[in-house]
Amino acid sequence: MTSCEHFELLISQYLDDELSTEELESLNAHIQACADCKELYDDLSTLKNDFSASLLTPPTHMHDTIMKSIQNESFATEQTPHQINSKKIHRTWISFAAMFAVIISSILVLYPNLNKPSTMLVQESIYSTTDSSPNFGGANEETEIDNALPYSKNDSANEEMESAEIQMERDYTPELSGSSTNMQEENEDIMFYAESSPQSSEMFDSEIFIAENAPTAITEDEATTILLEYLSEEGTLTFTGLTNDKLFYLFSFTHANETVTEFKIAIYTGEVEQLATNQP
Amino acid sequence: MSLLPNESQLIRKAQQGDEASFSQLMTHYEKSIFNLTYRMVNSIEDAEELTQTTFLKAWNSLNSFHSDSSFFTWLYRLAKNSSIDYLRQKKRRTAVLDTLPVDDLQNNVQLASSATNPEKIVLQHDRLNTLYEAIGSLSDDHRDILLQREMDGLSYEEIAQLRSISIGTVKSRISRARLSLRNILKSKGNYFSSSSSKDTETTTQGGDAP
Repeated sequence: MTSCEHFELLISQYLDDELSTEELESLNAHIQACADCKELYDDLSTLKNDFSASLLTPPTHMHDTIMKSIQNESFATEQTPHQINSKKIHRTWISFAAMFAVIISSILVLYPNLNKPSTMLVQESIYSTTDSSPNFGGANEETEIDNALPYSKNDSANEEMESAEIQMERDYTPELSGSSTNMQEENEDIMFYAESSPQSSEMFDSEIFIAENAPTAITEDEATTILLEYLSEEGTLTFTGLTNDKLFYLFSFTHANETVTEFKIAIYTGEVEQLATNQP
Repeated sequence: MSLLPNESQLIRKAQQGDEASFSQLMTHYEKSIFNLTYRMVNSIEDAEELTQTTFLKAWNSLNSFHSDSSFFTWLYRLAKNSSIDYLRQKKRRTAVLDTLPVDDLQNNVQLASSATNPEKIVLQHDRLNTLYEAIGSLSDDHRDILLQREMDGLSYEEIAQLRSISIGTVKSRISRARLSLRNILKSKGNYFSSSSSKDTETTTQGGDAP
């Protein structure tokens, strides 16, 4: 029944909304005349409905959860997606680092007392979670630069940035007169703070605070590398997911003797923590 | 999948950073992406996470979307690649494409009348079990293309692009896959003749009767 073969194809296309008006009319006419094709049409319609019915509905909160994580990212970067560009950030970063060095040195020149006990005050204020002092515009600028690179964006750009960061700090500290060692310490402290302020983001609900202090996160690959270096023995490392609060990567390591140890790595600090060990 | 009426406008606004526009796009495609990642990883929790990964990646790389493919095709590729990466890390074999949500169905089958009629749920569940078995016994090629059309919601055009085949080939393959499936189900017994399939109210998007 070759003419019915033709209509079989049309029925299939009809179900997919891929028929022209002429084809539709021709199909209509045929179905009214041909019992076999009518039956085929009914069966395939039933199948189509069944396929639709078998689709899962995503969990109701899923949409909002995803939008929230998008909002957090956008907020942290304070830039729109198309503005993020690693070369541009590199140039921006260099000028910021220069400004930062100038600001720090001018602060130290103008306020030599900062090098003495009151430096502790300054350091405390860095760590203080309620600090909103505008003087440390330098620190904020640095963290903003870190944040300008969302970790998921481009891993190699991130690595490039990190080594550039360390390089830049070393380049700049010798140029500051009189207080180079303190300067270095201060820079390292600030850098450390910039990289590890999960405490602040955990403690605050205020999104503004998170934007100013949100650190860069390590990628799964980086976490794997950290863990492999940490474990200097033979075995198999498997990534098993994230904690519910999304602050830790979870891994399970199967030792040569078949025991399995669970590890978690903090996404923002790279700290490794060993969890349970299971005998086989 | 059908496009949103103002889809290109929404995409443009989203590319400029408008989250609300992206949210609208996501609403339209999230069910599809969720289901296709589910079929690859066979867990609701993991599918949710992969859906999140997909849309986050999409948001972060919106400027790399060019209209040479449809937005959905682009999302589809992101989702597939994320799922493959995920499976690789979990050291699992490639997903069985005919992994269909049998066990999770009991929690998810959308039956308008199911609340008061548990019998209907069971019947529906059985029918879907039968359907999945039949799908499993199709040839790989038929199964893949049919699932792309019916479950993933890809259009002929999109399938043609993804597989680098002509639309004519897509049309005829899908048609033959459907016929093949129908024949398998007919030989299994009363899949089509059972009246429950017609009585059961389901939220569906089937074609309208001509």
